[in-house]
Amino acid sequence: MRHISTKSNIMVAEVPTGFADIYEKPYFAVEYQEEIKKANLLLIPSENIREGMEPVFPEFTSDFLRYLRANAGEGVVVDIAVDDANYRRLVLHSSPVALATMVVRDKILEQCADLVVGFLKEMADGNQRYEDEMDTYVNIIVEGEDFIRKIMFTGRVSECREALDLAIQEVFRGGAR
Amino acid sequence: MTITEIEQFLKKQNQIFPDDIIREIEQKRAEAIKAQNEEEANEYWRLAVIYYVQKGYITMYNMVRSKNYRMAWETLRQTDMQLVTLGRNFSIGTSLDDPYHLVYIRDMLNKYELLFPYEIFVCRESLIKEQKCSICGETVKLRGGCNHVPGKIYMGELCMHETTDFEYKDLKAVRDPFDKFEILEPYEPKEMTYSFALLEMLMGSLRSPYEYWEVEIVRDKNPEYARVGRNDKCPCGSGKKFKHCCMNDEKKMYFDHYKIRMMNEPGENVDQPLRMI
Repeated sequence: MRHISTKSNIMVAEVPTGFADIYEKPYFAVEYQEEIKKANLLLIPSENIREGMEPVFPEFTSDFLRYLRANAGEGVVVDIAVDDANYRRLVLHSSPVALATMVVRDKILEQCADLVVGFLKEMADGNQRYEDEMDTYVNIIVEGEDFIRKIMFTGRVSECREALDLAIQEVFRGGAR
Repeated sequence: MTITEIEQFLKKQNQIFPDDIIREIEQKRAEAIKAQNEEEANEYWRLAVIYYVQKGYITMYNMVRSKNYRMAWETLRQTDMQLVTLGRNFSIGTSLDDPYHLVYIRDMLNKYELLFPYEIFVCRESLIKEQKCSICGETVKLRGGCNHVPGKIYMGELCMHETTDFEYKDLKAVRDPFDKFEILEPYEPKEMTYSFALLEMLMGSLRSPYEYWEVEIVRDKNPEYARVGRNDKCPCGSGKKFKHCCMNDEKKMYFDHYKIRMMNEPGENVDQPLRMI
């Protein structure tokens, strides 16, 4: 855990779940598997948020997905792991902007970070809020050839860029890219 | 009324909003929609929202003045949301170019919000299962659905995603949510109530809703703790030494001090206030 400021924290940890495991999940949309398996930036739901609750996405997932699809640069293929029948959003109307967990290939991690920061900036501007007054939760699972690591950021939108840059260095520490 | 005449009306610092103005705008918008003139329909939508924002601001001001704080708060939130929606589709201006007073109103709404005592709100937690697009009526889909974007204007109509299937899960008490409509009201004890002293003081000094004022919040030390030494007995009456009791308790040691300064013009030197509350 690294403190960016009193308001923000970033953490990078080894995790067991990568793309192949997502394809086996009960929520995975098998009818779209050919399409989804091409994605190197995949949105997945959160599981076990509460006992008995089905896998859910955060409130702004539709906006986030729309932004990613519209702004993904060359080489970034975006998709979501579920079909409409399993697309459930938990709406809280809370102030922190929670983003859906992303599973990404290591080669596009920097582009993914740019997209995350761009979306959060658009959210702040669109809601006429200052980035240093708005909080966010960002979770990115990064899969490389020989590692799967998860970046977890909680804190101010204004500090997200700096935090993700630090996390990217940590993910690739040891030259695994 | 032509668009120009409506614009001229909205450029004034109005305090009265005759119903025939908005009826005229809405009628013209309906005609533009019927003629499938999107540019004109969107323009009349813009003028209608400017009208509602200005009227909402004045209504909120009058409600605060008449101490109808709960309704004033709801009107403030509603007006703020209308401004956000307007800003997603059109420029609302800048502090140097603010023909419809929208930047002024936005800044003032933020300042009024600081003076309201509400801090904790109730938010509904629900699971959204299905939504429909308000423009085309299609079910919103992850793949291959319509391309209408919620919050955007199409042919003079605001696109919204209407929830058609959801599951209520819980109620939560939260600070600083996006949606601040539902205030947590104290029920017991009866004497526990919100204080609107700051708004009352402000209203005692304001002569018009279009006056300029600034609010600054500074953290001041609670006078009770001002001259206490580390080894003195804690003023809270616990019997413990100050250093072992309240010395590190920010909430007890400090309080927010609000400074409201009245000005003639925006950005006027606030170090030399004309009147200070």
